[in-house]
Amino acid sequence: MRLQTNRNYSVFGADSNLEIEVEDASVMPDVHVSCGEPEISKRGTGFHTNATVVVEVLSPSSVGYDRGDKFHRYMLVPSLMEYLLVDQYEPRVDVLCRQETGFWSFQTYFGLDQVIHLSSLGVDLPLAAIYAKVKFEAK
Amino acid sequence: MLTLNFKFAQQRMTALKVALNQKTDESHAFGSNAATNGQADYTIFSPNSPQKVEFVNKSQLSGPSTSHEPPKLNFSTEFLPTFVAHL
Repeated sequence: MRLQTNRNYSVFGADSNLEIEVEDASVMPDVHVSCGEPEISKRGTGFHTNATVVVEVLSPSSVGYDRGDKFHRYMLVPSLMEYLLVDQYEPRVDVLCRQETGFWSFQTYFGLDQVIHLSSLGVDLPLAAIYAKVKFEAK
Repeated sequence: MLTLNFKFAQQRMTALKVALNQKTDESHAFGSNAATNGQADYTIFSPNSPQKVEFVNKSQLSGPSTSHEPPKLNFSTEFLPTFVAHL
């Protein structure tokens, strides 16, 4: 599923694969974004070798995998710059960002007043927009 | 050696069954197409066969969901359209 954007990005939903070339394997992100045209793997059109941003929406059964092994696999994709982990029960998004040094930074955005800046894409993503239809219970 | 191989195959099958069950649960929550297509989340390609070997090494998963709380943020109808609209 390829989605249209106003800029020169290619956005793919959860039915597309991201290939981990060094492992000769692939994973399925919830969302991945490529700047420009995606590079198609030798496996076929549903397999891409480049992604600039990957998003996972967390569920109770996958949160450990998404934060652990799956992230370690994403780190092996050289083009990947930012990895977003979106909580579905509270307004919280964790952003892991590859630095020029090769290290990864970690930042948590918590609260509906927060705005995520995706530097690799040059866009802002308000949490209020992400969670616009979600009703949170007062704690 | 045969026993070891058999055990390894058994472990992989168990991991696959667990993962598929979990993916089904996840698919229900998020409306993902992944599970309905029968695709694994993590696929290793066999160098000796033209056919891909699929399995999900999710032994490190936190285990089956213990939460019966329904998902609040719907992936396909809420998150994805909003995300795309901001790009």
